[in-house]
Amino acid sequence: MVAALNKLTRLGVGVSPWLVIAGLLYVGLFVKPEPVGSTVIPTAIEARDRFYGLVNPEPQVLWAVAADGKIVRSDDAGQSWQVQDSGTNVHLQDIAAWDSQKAIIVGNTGVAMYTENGGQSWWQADAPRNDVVNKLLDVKVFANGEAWAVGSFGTIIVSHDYGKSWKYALEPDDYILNEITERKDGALVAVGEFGTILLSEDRGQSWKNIPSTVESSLMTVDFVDAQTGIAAGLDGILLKTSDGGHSWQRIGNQFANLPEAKAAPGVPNASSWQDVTTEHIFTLRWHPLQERWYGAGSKGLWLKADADGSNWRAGRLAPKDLSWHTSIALTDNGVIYTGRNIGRWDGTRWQVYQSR
Amino acid sequence: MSENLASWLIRFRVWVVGVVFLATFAMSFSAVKIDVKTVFQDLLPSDHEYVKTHNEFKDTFGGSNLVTIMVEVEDGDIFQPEVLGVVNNLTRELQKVSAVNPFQIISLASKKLKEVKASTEGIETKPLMWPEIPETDAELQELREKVLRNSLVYGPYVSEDLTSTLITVDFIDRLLDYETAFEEINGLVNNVSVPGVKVRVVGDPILYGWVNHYLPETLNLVLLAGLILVLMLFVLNRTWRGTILPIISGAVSAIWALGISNLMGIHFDPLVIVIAMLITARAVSHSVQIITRFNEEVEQIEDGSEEAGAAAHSTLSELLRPGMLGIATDACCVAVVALSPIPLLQKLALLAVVWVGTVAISSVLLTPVLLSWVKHPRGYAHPINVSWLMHRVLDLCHWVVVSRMRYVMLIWTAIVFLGCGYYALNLKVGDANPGSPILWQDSAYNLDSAAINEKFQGADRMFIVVGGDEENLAKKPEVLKSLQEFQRFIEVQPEVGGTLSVSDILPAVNRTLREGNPRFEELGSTQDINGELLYMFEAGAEPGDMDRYVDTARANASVTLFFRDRQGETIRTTIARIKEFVAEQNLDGAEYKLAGGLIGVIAAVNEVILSGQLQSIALALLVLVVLCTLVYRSSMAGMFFMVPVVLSNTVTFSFMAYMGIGMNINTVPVAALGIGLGVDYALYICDRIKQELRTGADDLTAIERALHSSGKGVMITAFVLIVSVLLVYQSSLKFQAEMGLLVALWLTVSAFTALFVMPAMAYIFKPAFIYGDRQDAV
Repeated sequence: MVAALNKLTRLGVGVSPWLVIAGLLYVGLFVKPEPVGSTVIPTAIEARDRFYGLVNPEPQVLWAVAADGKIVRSDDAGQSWQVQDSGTNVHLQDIAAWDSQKAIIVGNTGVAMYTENGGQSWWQADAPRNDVVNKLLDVKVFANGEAWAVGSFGTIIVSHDYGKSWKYALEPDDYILNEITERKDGALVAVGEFGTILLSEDRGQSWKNIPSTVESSLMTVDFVDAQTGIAAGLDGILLKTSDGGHSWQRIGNQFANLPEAKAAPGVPNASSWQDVTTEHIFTLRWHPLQERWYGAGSKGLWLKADADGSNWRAGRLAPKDLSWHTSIALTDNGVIYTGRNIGRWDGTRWQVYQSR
Repeated sequence: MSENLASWLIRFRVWVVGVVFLATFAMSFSAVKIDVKTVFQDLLPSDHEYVKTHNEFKDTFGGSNLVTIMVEVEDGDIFQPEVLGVVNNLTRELQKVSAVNPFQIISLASKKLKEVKASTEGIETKPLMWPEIPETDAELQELREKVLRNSLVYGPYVSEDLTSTLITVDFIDRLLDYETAFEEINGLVNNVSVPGVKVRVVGDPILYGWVNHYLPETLNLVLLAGLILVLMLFVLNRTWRGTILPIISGAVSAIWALGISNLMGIHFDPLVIVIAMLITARAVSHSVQIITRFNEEVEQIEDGSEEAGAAAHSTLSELLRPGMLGIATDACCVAVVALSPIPLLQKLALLAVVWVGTVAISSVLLTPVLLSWVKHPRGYAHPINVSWLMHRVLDLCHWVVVSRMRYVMLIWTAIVFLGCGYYALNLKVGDANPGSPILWQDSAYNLDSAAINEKFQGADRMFIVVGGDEENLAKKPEVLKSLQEFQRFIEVQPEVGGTLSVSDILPAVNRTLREGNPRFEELGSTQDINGELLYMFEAGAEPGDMDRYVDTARANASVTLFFRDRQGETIRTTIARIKEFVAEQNLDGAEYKLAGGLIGVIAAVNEVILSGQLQSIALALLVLVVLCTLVYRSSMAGMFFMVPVVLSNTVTFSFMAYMGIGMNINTVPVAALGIGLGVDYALYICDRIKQELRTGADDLTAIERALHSSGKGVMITAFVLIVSVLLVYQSSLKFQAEMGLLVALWLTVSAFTALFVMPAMAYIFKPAFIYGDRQDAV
């Protein structure tokens, strides 16, 4: 028994070196480790993002849409952001919401999407498309599930079921419509390329083309009440109406020499005012509580004015921030700007939300 | 056999020595002519997929020798005439630097950085600041605005805080000489004497330029180390022969090795000086072993009949086996490095094998032959005697074997092995820290590199190619869209500071066409529209202007990735993410090709090293085991001698992991040589035990004698070499310093194992190849 065990041990001792040699040979010939990288988790807001549309249906909620089909939402006034799955990678141009649950998005290729659960799922709506070019640029929502969207090729479409189905409200034509808005008495006004201004006082049944005396593009329009409104556009053009949009006048004279802008943050030299007035204005909003106009545009422009379109002030959000912004939201603690970046401006300080 | 060879060598000693010295004399002519330089092409594994892409596209999309110069102001921003003047001057002067590609000098002052403007005639592209630099406040302000709104400039070429701007310059690889480029560019940079303006330079030509710059210092350190070596040998050995002969054998083998390498057309990379030291250390330690043995043999000769020849003869015949076996394992282990597809490593392996091979002649054969001439073998050259101290230590070694400590020693060895083995798993492939591992963190180069990477998206670049054979593939909307998605995906990684491709340019042109409306900042929907956009951007362009983005046939487009560091982990993660992205792409006719530029090339080298790492360790061990098994005709001998090797390597690898020294092209050969290195000392001691047992000594006496003879040689060489190698730690090159430290550690561990662990192991296990066919032997 002991002898057998001894024999076994001897055998083991004799064999093990060869096992080691075989093992080394195997490793030497066949084992090739592959590189393994570490995991990287994307942030909600990335350096490459371009946010075109923004809405804040509730005080804490910020909801923005961006290029490449990106949707982000913050439920804590911009402290943290979550990305929502849009199911598309086309550029999304605008978002509008009835509340924090129901919203619609429009964008390139004529895409229109809606949600009823705060964006947990987005569904494609069947929006009509023309044969030439489809690009929806702006959307607005009104009571009882009504929604209006405008875009390229003179598109005006309307929905009455919270964005599920859409139909044309105007024959297409060869110009771009950039924004549609509601006069406070329910009439609709749309502005666009070549100084186009359309007015409908019968909720879209018929549209009247208003001569605007300007030829460059109008990007934005909004109303204080049923009478007073302002439209703005490229190269700093500003038009004012006091008769509900039937006639428009250039505002410009008051603009010529406004001292405040020179002292505005980030505008170090005297020539900057000239610069600001000629910058593109992409959006202009009436703030009913503060009774003031706010605007944004290219090269980090901010704009402010009194209700009657006087006392304009402008400047740059930050000295070295020449980002463009296409959309603003007026909240209790400042104006949220979205565009090349996304951030909050409280009138003196510009704070960009998390990039990198 | 060793008897016959020994007799023959001693009989014809005049001829032997004559031939060796004549050969050495002849070789020295060739040796002094050896080229000391880093050859860039040798660093690349040319068959690797990435390197193929790199070589195919480097002339278009940017090589790996890009030099980045940052002009930085202390006060205000760069928009001051003096500062812009510096940029302008440097940009022009750079054209005169040797091997510069004049079409690839990019800065604010070059024609390459342009603005696209819509005008009444359509679209207009104009250089930002060429040919005149702005002078008036208004002009300066205008330039500032132009920069701020140009995302191809603001960020990539002008820092976000506007306090610094970059000049990048690329070279024609085949004409490039690192040293010349370094000198000429440094000359330009040092000429800038505008107060408040600081100029920083990084790039591989600069990095290797610094290595060359420190070459004289390195050589001085090596000479000093040699001097200390001589001094200590003299003190410890107390004889002239013990001092001069090791040096002769070191020198002879070095001359032969360098001479033969030069004849074979191999040049000497300044970074591998450590390897040279390591091999010279082998030569010295073999020689010291032989001299120690000779001294003993002399002791045994009766007074009055002192005959050095006989002592030399028996020394030679007794030490031939362990000496040659040690050399053979060294040579074979380092030869394994030649399996790597990297030419530098192949050449280095060849150099090392030749060098180690020459040690066989210069130490094992030449030293005893020279010893046979010794006149007064019993005399000492000076009265200082420290051998009592050495024998104290050797007594301690013996006590370990005799006492129960031998078991404790074995258990401790096992614990150290397991602990270090586990920790060594942290050893990283690639660079372990930001900045270059060749230089110290606080070196000018690494400070410059850190400053540039902080202000900009990253100085080191990689390019990825998307395309195929078909012309105009790079204008296809799906290709461009895929590029865009790729850039977005890859920029998520924080170490990737930014990316640049043609897909960034076309949307910007499109937006300009659409009255500057950002809602139209998008790619064209058809190939024709994209072609149109590209055409508009190109209007008025010069040859080479589009090179960074697309090739001439528009069949291939590139994405340039800017890296903030070149750590192995960063690169691995990026490559893995790129592959993850590419796997999901299905582009008709076009495909993604990885990866060019400096980071692409480093990625290839790292992958090669990673994949070959285990292989080379396993094969080197295999060679060692097989050689020992053959020589001692016992498979147990192979196992037995694996112990010191595995132990010294795990300790060293864990030390590398602890110090943050990564496995890269420079450290791999040192590591491979270390495997062969670990076994020499153990071979001498165990072989001596075997010999003593054969002469009839009992087990413990045999070990005692072996320790006090071979063990003394081990102690002397280990101590002397460790001290001189540590001197290299003063080097301005961090790499040299760390390698010096590593070699010292290797020597310490293998000497310690040979003196304290191996005798204990031999006594406990009694392997048959030492103890013969005894009943209790294994």
